[in-house]
Order: sequence, then structure tokens, then C-alpha cells
Amino acid sequence: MSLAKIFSVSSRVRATGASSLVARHAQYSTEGKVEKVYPPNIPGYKYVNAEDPNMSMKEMSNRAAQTLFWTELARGFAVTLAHIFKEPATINYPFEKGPLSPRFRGEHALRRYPSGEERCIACKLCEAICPAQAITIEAEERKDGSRRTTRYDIDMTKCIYCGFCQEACPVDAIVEGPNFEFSTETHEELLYNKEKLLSNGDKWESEIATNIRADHLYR
Amino acid sequence: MFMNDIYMIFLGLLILIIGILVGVAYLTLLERKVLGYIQIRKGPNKVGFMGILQPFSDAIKLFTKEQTYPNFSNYLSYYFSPILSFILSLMIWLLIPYYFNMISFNLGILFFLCCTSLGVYTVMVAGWSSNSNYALLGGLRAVAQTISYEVSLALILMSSIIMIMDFNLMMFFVYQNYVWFIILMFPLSLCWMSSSLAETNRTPFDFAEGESELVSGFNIEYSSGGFALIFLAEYSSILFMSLLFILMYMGGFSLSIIFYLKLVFIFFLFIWVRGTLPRYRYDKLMYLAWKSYLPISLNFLLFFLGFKILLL
Amino acid sequence: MSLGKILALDKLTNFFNALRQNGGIKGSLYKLYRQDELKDGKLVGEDKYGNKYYENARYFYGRNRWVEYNDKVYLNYDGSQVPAEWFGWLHYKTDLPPHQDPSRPKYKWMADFTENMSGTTGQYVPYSTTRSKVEPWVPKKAA
Repeated sequence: MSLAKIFSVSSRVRATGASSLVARHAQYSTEGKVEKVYPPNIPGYKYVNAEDPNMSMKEMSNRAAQTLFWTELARGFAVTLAHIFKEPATINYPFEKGPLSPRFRGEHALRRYPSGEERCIACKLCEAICPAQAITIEAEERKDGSRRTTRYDIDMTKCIYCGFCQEACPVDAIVEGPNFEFSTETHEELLYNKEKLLSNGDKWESEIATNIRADHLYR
Repeated sequence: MFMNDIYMIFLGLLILIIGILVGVAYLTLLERKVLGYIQIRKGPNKVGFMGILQPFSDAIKLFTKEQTYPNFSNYLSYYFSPILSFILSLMIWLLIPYYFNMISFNLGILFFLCCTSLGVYTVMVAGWSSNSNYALLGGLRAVAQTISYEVSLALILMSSIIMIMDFNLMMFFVYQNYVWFIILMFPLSLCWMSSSLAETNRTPFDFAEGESELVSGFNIEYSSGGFALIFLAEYSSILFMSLLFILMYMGGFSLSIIFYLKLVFIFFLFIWVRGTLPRYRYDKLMYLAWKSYLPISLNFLLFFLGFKILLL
Repeated sequence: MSLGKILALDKLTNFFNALRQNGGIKGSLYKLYRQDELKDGKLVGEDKYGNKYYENARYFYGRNRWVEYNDKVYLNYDGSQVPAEWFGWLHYKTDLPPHQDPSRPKYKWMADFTENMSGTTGQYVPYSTTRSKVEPWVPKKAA
């Protein structure tokens, strides 16, 4: 035992000097009653490396018994057996659903003013900021002279749902609504046009407005 | 009269095969459920009534998938090795100790050893004929492991055979009428349990699969029906191994319901082990077989030899 | 801790409560078949599409609110059948169910809720909302 320790002279052995080395050897012979040298007891420091195992007869026989009787194995099996009877953490989706933030960024929607007038004024800030270039806007003058979009397309398969479009929008027209259940069977169905976005807004206005109000203190 | 017997034997075999297949199907479901609950989740619970039809859904899905095969593979051996392994694993089940309508083997244990040894070849051929490095290496890995543990399995079996002086599986429960062999040879039964875990490529010794750190083993190029057959063969051999454990150490009398409860418990033990233990290391696995189990089983063989001579 | 709790009798009472609430053994089997789950809870409300919303604080957060879809859809239930008004409550954004929340806007232009129609005849098909850029010149016919 001591031979192995001598040959494994590590930096911490050298740093503490030869006297402590002697003390450490004495420790094995007198059943661990000598004051411990390792870990060095410096106030304000915590020794984080592996400590030498306690070599008293009791501890050694305890360790041997643990190995011999597979107590670690048995405890492992006990843990898994106990887990069988725990309540599973499964959430039974579509009946139960997980918690969602009001800031959740899901399916896009174009909103309207309470009067029913569409909000978008075709400033194209969202198109400019969109990092995936998923938005395409074309604008024209409407009959009453106001500036409106004629095309507002979002390629939902390009979109990375970063939410920059709703950040950029000066009139809160384009928002990312709370809906995430809009998966489709074909790619084409995800190429949203203006009508689809407006109808999304009409469908989800109740939830979108509530979310914006819930978050208004932070805006 | 003779034809009648033939018909009855065929009927019995048919019932046996259907029983095995349904048993294996529901064992996969049991495994997924138990593993699920061990990991605090529910297993499959959607197909049919609370997931009761899941295995059949899996089977239909697997067998209707497209069968692919690698270019330049050795097609015949590639195609037939899963079939052969499935047939072999079904053939082992002829050993199941019934009193009626089945073949009663006088040398049943030898038949078992022959079948499991032949099963190794199917793994090797499946790995080799896939013409893929991964499959070849996986096959070698699995074969080395299986052959090593077959040695310890055979030697552990020898102790029991010495005790009862017969190769017939029926004799096992005759000799265990008063005391189960698990009490007589507890360390050996533990060796047998872990050897059979290794023999059937189960966790913690599942180096044939080794998912999460290796690509899948010898079966990597198998897709639909071939994969399903390999899977079925694997699970039916696991089921047979747990049956053998009952027969050898827990005094199984196969006509009582208790026998089957014990069988379910041992299979549950297999799943429990899978849910608990992490994968072993391959070199340690080999050391375990050759440096621990081989000496242990040889020593016990000598011990029981002497024991038997004393008893005679 | 009472004796009943030690003997896990409360679990038994909960089970029988759930059994009674879901309509006896037959009804419970049907619920199990359709929803894979047998729970007892307080009916919080019902939307106009016939979906019923339940709550029971005994279950952990994430499972303590649930919806039972209209019986008419049978096994064709879908997560997107929850209308926008109940969406927030079911997703734990708010504790107020919509009929107790006066601040929710109700404009007359707000559209009826539809589920995700993908794969049906009612699915969305993209089209251009602008006039085409190139228009053919149609010469005036000589009178």
C-alpha cells in the first residue's frame, strides 16, 4: 500500500512536504486515528478532488460487504422497481395540453382594427427584417386612396418563427398567434396568402388580443 | 389410427407455434409498457383498447414495408439467414416439456445446445452476406460474444445434468420435487441468468445492437420481413431462455399455472435488467465469460461431481 | 396521515369516483377506448362545438385541465378542435374560462372556429391575390 503511495508522488504530496507523508503512512497503521492531512484544511477553500478512502477496519469491511452482496446493484433495481409505481409524467395530448406562454410564437395571423378594417399598411418592415425571407409583399393604392397590400404571402416552410415580423410591425398587424396545430399533409398548404392570414386573424382574434393584453406591461 | 396421430402432432405443433408467436408479440408489448413505466411514462396506449393491439400493428407495419437488399449482397444467404434463425428458434420450442402430443426428447439438452449453436451461424451469415462493413463487424461482435457465453452456458448446464444424470428436460422437475435447484446452486443460477442475458444479446450485454454508441449490428441492412423475423427469433429465444431458467432452477412443472406465472416473472426480470443496468464494456464482457464464469462453472462442475459421487 | 391513506384507500375511492362519473363500467370502458384515460373532475364549461372542459387539481400541473371532445367526432378527435376562446385556458395561460372573462373581445367580424382541415376537401389551397403582371393585349375588333 505504502509503496504505491510513494510511487504516486503527486503535486499535492510534494507541496505539503515530507513530514505529512510520514503522517499519512502512520495513518494507515493506526486505524485512521491520526489527524487527516488530506484534504488540506485551508479556510475559505473547498477541496474538490477525490479523497483517499478511509482505511479503518470497519470502513474497509463495509466496502467489501457492499461489493460482495451487490448492494449497489440491488439499490439500482429497487429504484427502477419503485419507478414503475410512480405516476407517469405523460400528458395525454390532445385531451390534455402543456402550458404555453402568452408570448408563444406560432402560426401567423393578420389582425384587424375593431372596426373590421385590416391593420396592415404595407410598410414592408416585416419583409425587410425577415431573416429567412419568407415574406413577400406587394402593395397598391386602394380605391379609397389608402395604401394596402395586394399580396401578403408567407412561406411557412421557410419561416423560422423568430418573431421579428411582429416586433417590426408598427401597427400590430402581423402577429405570431398561439396556434401550433397547423400541420398539413402537403407542402402547398403551408404557402399562406393574404386571405389565409386574415382568416387566421379572424379565427384567433380572441386569443391574440388576450395574449397581447397579458404581455402589455413588458412592451 | 396412425394418420390420426400424425394429424394430432401437426395440430399440436401448429398450436405451439401460434402460442409462441402470440406470446412473443405480447412480450414485446409487456417490455415496452414496463420500460415505459420504469421511465415514468406510459408505453404504447393508442392502438386498439389501451394499446392492446400494438404488437399486431407493429407486425403488419413491418411485414408490409418495402423489402430492400443491398447491392452486391450475397442474396440467397442474405435472404434466408433470418428465416433460418427464426425456424431454429421455433425448433427449440419442441423441447417444451409437455406430456402429450409432443416429441419427448431423451437428449433434449443436447438438442438445445445444438440449436443455439446453429443460431450463431445465422447471425454470422446475416452479417457477412449483407456486404456492409458495419453488418460484418456487428456480426463478428455478436458471434464472439454468443460463442463465449455458450461455453459458460454449457458448463453451467453440466452441473445440473450431473445432478440429475439425464439429458431429458422432463427429468428436471422430477428431481426438483422437494427442493429447487436455485437453492442448491444459487451462484450458478445467477451465472446462468447473466449468461443467458449475454447469449440472447440483451442489455447490459447488447453489443449486437449497441444503439446510442454504435450503428445497429449484424441486422443493419435488414428492413421489413427480414428484420421482423430476426426480431421474432430473438424474442422467442429470450422467452425460451426464461423458460429454461424455470425448468432448471425453479422446478417448473409445465402443466400448472404457477409455471407460467414464474415464466412471466423471469421475463419481467429480463426487462427489469434492461430498465436498470447500463451497457457493459466489451472487453469486460469477454473477461467476465472467460475469466470469471468459466472457472466458476468448472469449479462447480467438480463440486457437483463429487457431491453426486458422495450421494451414489 | 390517516389510516385510509396509508392503505391507499383514497386511490380506490378516486377510482370508483372516476368510474361513477364516466357512466358506470360500460361508459368507462368506452371512455378508456376513446381517451386512453379515466379521470374524474369538475366540469368547467362547454364550448359551442360540444367539447367539454374539466379540471381536477389532484393531478399534477399539465394534466389538471383537460378537454373531452364532442362525442360526434368519436375517434377523429384532433388537438385543433379546441376553439380559440378555450385555447388559453387549456394551455394554462389564464385561469379564467372564456365565459367568466369579460375582457375577451367579441367583434362581429370574428370568424367561426374551424379545425385543421388539411387532408380534407376543405383544406386551404394557395392562390395569388394579385392581378397577373403580364396581361395579353386584346385588340379592339373593328366594328
